[in-house]
Amino acid sequence: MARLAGLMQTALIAAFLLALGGAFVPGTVGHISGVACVVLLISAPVVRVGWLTVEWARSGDRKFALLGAVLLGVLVTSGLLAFLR
Amino acid sequence: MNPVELAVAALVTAAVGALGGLGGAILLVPILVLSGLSAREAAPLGLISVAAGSLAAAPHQLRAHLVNHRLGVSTEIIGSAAALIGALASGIIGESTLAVMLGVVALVAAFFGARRKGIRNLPDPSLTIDDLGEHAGSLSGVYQLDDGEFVRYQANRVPIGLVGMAAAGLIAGLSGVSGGFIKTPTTSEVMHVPVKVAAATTTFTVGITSAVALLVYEAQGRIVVSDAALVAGAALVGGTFGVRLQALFPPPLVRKVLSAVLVIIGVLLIVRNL
Repeated sequence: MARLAGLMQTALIAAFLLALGGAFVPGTVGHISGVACVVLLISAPVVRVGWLTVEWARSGDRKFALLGAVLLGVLVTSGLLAFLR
Repeated sequence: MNPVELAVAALVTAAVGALGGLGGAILLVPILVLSGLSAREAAPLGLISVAAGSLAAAPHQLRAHLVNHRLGVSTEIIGSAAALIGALASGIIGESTLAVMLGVVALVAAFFGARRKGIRNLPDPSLTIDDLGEHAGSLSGVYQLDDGEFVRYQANRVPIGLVGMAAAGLIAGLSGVSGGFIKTPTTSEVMHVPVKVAAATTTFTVGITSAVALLVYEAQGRIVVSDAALVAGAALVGGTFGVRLQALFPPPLVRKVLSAVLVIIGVLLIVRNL
């Protein structure tokens, strides 16, 4: 969990810096920074679930590894449904 | 609403929302709608605030072993699926219907916020720091009280709890508020998980719910990047600040004040759009 907490801490700092860029830097650079911030906010919980799923699979907690995989499946399906409609 | 007002609104609502344990979006979205933004435009900004709040809380909650990830993942499968349906449906529902729905959601949030009590489990002297955290293979765990004692818990009545999670997901997708005001009481009072663990687990799951709905909103072209970045930055600061202020203001008192504000907002939204 300590490594996952460290990863989330890094994501938090990165999201804040990208948000500042998106809000205050004009032009294309600011726009890209803002988009990257939104992408990071969306992907952080997905990465967290993926990390947990792998951890549970490695430690032999198969039932919850399977549930994690199902949740990841729901997330991927949501993305596909959203953009293919 | 100009960018400065938007940033201040996002910062203050995130701080107050984190302080009261309800999340900032339940205040931010109705305020944005009352200030002239359409419910369709306000919803993505609300969920950006939710996602930022979830990320802001993650490092501390992971280090403190407060979140029961197994419970969160188990219940979020149905929550995320419901959020997807809600977000897809929000694209075809009329503007005034969405605003009235938001008003009703604010009133329901006020009701749950005012009466939330939480289950108090008894400390077990046989438990030590080695037992802290969630337990592999089950929806149980141990958490530490402020006085250092350890408490064992086990999630019960999961099928009934899943109904609450589905309702919360649907509301999040439709309106852009987090649905945490349903998830935390459901986890605490229906599933008998201690309120501290329930709130932390909800903070984790609302991040997933918001990710699903934001994907749909992005595909519908409803996210204005500059506004989203402004709200994200302000909510990250406000959320972090609000959690630190919890020691100064008791969350139950803050929730009661928030509930009164939400009643006013809810009534205004309904009256203006009927």
